[in-house]
Amino acid sequence: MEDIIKQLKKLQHIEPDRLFTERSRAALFGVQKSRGTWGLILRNVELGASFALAGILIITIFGGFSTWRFLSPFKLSNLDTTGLKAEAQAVDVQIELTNLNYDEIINTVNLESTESVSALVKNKGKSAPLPLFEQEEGNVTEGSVTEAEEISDTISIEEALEMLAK
Amino acid sequence: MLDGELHIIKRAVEGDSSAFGQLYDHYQPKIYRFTLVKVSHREEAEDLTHQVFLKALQSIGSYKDLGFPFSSWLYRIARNQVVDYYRTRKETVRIEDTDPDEMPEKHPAHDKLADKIEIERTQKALRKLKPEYQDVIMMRFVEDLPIRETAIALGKTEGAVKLIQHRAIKELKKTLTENH
Repeated sequence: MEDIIKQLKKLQHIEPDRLFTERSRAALFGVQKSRGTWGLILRNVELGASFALAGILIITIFGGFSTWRFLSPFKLSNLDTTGLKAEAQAVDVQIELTNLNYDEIINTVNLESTESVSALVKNKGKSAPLPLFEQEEGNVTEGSVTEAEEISDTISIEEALEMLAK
Repeated sequence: MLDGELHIIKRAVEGDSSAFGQLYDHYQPKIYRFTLVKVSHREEAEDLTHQVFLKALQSIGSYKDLGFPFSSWLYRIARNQVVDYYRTRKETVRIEDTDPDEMPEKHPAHDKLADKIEIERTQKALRKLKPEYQDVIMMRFVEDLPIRETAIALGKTEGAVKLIQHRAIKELKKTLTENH
């Protein structure tokens, strides 16, 4: 019995590895420390930074451009509203004028083409209808449509184009 | 028991890490020895010891002094850790079935070859005992814990501890004689 107990007491000499003890201690108390003061400081910094970023984002979204107008050292001429208005009005007028010109050109072209086509028809077929110019001016387009329909019955588009070219 | 242990424990409960450090320095070798006898490898014993103190650190805030020694609380955590270790281990090998000859242990603190051989022989014999017997022998004869503390740590009555102790010594003597 005594011998066994003596033998068991020798187990008291077993010691953990010094390196393991140091690592384990550092791991345990390192975690604890960072949770303490440093953890608190870090958390506050993070919170402050997130609030600041959120503020900047909101300002940029809602009032970014107008603020930039006042704060920016460079004047942006494109952001001058009166200038923009005047420019927009000028553009509208130009468009109207161009439209007018375009309509006029279209009408002249229509008239010329109907004249030449009807003349051709007269020459080619005796059964062709009366020329369009005998009708009233207001019915010019209507007449030209019926005329064109009839022409398309007798002459093909290729032939008409060929004739026009001649 | 550590000098002024009650005061140190109180400080540790209040969150003083240096107080817990003192407890760690005092009890870590004991817990390491306890786990080393229970598991087969030094590395595993180190892992378990670290886990025991990590758990202790996490739950020290809820520690209440109910008149039980602090060591019994730590041993209880250590025993649970060892139980978990065997439960979660993939290849379930009973500690009694393992061959101690295949588990060479390094003890850098021991330079004397004779002592080293003697220690290894005792360890091998201990590993062949029931876990319950190992617990009682380690607590009573290696760590010199009183019967009361051992009984609290193991959740048994003092009478039961005395009985286990008697049987454990008898069994260990038999094992040591067989191996000699």
